Amino acid sequence: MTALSTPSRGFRKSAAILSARGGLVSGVVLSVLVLLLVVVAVFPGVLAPGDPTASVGGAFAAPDGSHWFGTDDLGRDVLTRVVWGAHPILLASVAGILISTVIGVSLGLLGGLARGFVSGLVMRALDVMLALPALLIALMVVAIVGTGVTSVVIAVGVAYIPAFARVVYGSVQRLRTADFVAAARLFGASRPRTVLRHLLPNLATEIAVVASSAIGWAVLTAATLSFLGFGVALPAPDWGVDLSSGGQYLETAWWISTFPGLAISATILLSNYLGDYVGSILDPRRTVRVRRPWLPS
Amino acid sequence: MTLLQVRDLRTQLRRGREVVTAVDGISIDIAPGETVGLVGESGCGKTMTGMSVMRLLPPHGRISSGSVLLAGRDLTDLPEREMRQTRGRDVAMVFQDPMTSLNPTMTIGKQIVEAVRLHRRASAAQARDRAIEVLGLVGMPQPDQRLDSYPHQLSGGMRQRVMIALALACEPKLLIADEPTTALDVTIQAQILELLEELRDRLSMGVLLITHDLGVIAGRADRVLVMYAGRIVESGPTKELFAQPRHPYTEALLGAIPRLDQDKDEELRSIPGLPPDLAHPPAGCRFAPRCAFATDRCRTDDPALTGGAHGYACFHPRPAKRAAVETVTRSKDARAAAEPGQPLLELVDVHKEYPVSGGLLWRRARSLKAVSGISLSVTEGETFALVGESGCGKSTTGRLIVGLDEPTEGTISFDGETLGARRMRMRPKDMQLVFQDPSASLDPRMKVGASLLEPLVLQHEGGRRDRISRVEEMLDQVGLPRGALDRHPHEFSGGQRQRIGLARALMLRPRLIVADEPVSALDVSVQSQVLNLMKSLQRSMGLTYVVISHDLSVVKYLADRIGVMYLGKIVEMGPAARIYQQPAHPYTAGLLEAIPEPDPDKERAKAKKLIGGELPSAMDPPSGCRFRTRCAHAQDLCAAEEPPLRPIAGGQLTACHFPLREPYTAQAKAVPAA
Repeated sequence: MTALSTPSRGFRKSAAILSARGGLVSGVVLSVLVLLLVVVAVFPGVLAPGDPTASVGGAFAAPDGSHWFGTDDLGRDVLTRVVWGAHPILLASVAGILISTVIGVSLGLLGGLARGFVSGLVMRALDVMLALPALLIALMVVAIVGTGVTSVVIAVGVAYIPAFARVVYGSVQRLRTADFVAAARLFGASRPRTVLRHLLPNLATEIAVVASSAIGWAVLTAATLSFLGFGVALPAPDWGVDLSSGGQYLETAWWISTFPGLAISATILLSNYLGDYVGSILDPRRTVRVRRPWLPS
Repeated sequence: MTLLQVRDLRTQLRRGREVVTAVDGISIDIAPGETVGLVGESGCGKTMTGMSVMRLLPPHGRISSGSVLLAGRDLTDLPEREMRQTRGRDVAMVFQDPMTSLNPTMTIGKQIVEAVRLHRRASAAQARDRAIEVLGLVGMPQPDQRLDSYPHQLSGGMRQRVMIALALACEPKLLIADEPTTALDVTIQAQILELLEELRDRLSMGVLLITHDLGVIAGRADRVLVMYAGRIVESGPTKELFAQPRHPYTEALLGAIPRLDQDKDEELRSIPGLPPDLAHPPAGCRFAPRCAFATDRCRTDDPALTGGAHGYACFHPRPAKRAAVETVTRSKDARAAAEPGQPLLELVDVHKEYPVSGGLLWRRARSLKAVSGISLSVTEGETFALVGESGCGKSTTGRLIVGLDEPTEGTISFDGETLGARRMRMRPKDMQLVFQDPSASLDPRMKVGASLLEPLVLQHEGGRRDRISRVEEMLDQVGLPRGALDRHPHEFSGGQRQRIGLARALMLRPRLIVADEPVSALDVSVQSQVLNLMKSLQRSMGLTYVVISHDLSVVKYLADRIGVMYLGKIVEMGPAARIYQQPAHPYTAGLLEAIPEPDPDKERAKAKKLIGGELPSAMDPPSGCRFRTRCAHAQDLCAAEEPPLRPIAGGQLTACHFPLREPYTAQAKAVPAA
């Protein structure tokens, strides 16, 4: 049934799909950037071999040839700290979003498929959570489970549950009455099977899009938590912590806060673009529509 | 004098890096008071032609050459400001779907007043008076009270009337009606077409009637233009063109429609293939790849539109004096002669009510009575059809039969066995449903192969290899290539998707197929392919069909017996031929009268006795006979007492106090109905 294709044919086919749906160039650029971020988060030593907690020279050295991002108040290299700081924050946001995806999607399915009391209970609880800002929920969670990287993961995970649940709930409402679901029932498909084989694949695009953009929001939440001192404790490197500790020297040594801040912004932007891109390549119906104004021929 | 003179109009659209020539050098003339029909399949450039005249092209489109003269003024090079004044004042357009073309947040009065004041110096009060006037003109009851209604408060037919009122508010000289009745029921369609004709005469407007429905064109247009792949392939006076189509495309289109007088054993003509992609039109005649008469010359040279008043663009026109068109006649159905056996499916007094929650404060439990007491039986091997306007409960009945819904009352039995309640109702191996819209009924994420395998997997039929060979066999049977298995549904055309839908429904070799509007989402040329396929599958697999449709010509072609539904009840039932020849219920008669037939003589000879009014609400149906509010023969008895379904001659059953034909016997046995 499946066409057996040689690797090169498969590659060419994927390349064709990419260029038809999302644009090949932006795909390559995005992949390189994401890969870079992953390498930075997993193997920080490859890009910055130094020790992020060690002093490498004078304090408050401005960015120059030897210290591209300058040094901080204790003479530590800011570039090294930015590279090593990616790990805790990306771990917290990716792991956190994984948690909220799993729980959120399950709750959304439950709310959308169950009837009456159960559905009402789930959805009203989510409404209450949605009414509170994600950061507030995260702070409440940290207040309960204490500080540390694990707490930040849990906090982010809990905070973004309603976002996923709502999206899934809405789509389930639309899909459960779809003709193809009725058709599956007519062939004797059980409820769980319909959910697995028909509902989830049709929800996959939306979930992937929300998840890739949500990583951006999660980065912001995680950074804020550590900025406020609930995450990684000094002297371990972390974008939020460094942003906060450099804040007091902003007038004299702008680079200490600015570079971690830029790293946060860049990650969020990347995540947003990733979300859009994932959305466009995952949809088999979609081919890119160039909306250029008419050019005189 | 011509009102509209389009010359060599060419409209191009940008699609990615390609340029699609949607309209390719067409010319149209319309005189005041004349209706010119523009027909063709979807995607042939009809709508783009209308949009070009209005200069309402999408942002990636433009008129690249040609002229559009409206009363001597070329619209193609008017500045946008002047074009804005021209739209509405000189030329107006009515679209297919009045729900999306009316502003849902504004009352209809405001919208008409706005249109009036844009073009005329009128005070608010004057404009309001004008709005009432035009609403009256389009037959809106109590126009002064209706002004403050919002579009969603009106029915589809009424909304289309408002749309027409809006278009006519400033008495344009030219009206472009783009599929004005396609979204409406046949009785309402007849009302709207009648209205357009009357208004055209009264205001001596020119009308460009764009439609895919040759029946609509036959009765309403003075001249017809047949469009194919961006070109006009044939043009001429309506009567002549329908009587003697010269272009093979026109001839094939006419042959593809099942007519009311169609021989049921005759295969419908169909046009193989698909219209060309207009980004890369074929060299030579564009119809050549699908044409049975094409020669080498057709594939290299491009025929021009020649031939005077009745013009055609073809090197090998069909003979003017028509020989009998050869048709493929199937061997007479053996089953037709068979004795009526045990009923395969039987419905006894089936009701279905849906609860409707009311407002916030008054939670009165109200219910929508979708089906109120229908009884019918279907014999093995026959085709039973349920017909009626939308909202009459025919689709609900279909869902009840296959078990997607539970009846509130009554019983449904299959093969002598009463089907139990709840989940047990579904019998995947016995009954299947073919849905109206194949793009909605196939999982867009699943490859066709997986979709076809699913029924076998779910019912644990056969081993892996056996399943795959059954899927491949089925593909052959519905005429799809094996390569289809590895593709997604969106890669297929509408007709192919419906074949896939049929194939999937047949995978478990069910005995009964319920087909809910199986062809109404398809173009006529494709529709005939699917109808032919349904007939041949019925013969080869011995299927029993329950066909649900609003299209009486389709039903006539397929069905052995027919049940006419009105507001949740069967008002007439009997052998198809009898019902069409001698309808006894006034509703059936009116419904048959309203079908536009592709025959200008018949259409024009029709007495304009239309079913007036609209379908009442199923929440509180009228007392007594439900049809009485729209019936010309209604009397006091009809309001007081509900007529039972009684037998009349020829095996026909009718629920009417005053049937158009005499009841069968004096004893008039009442059949157990509600």
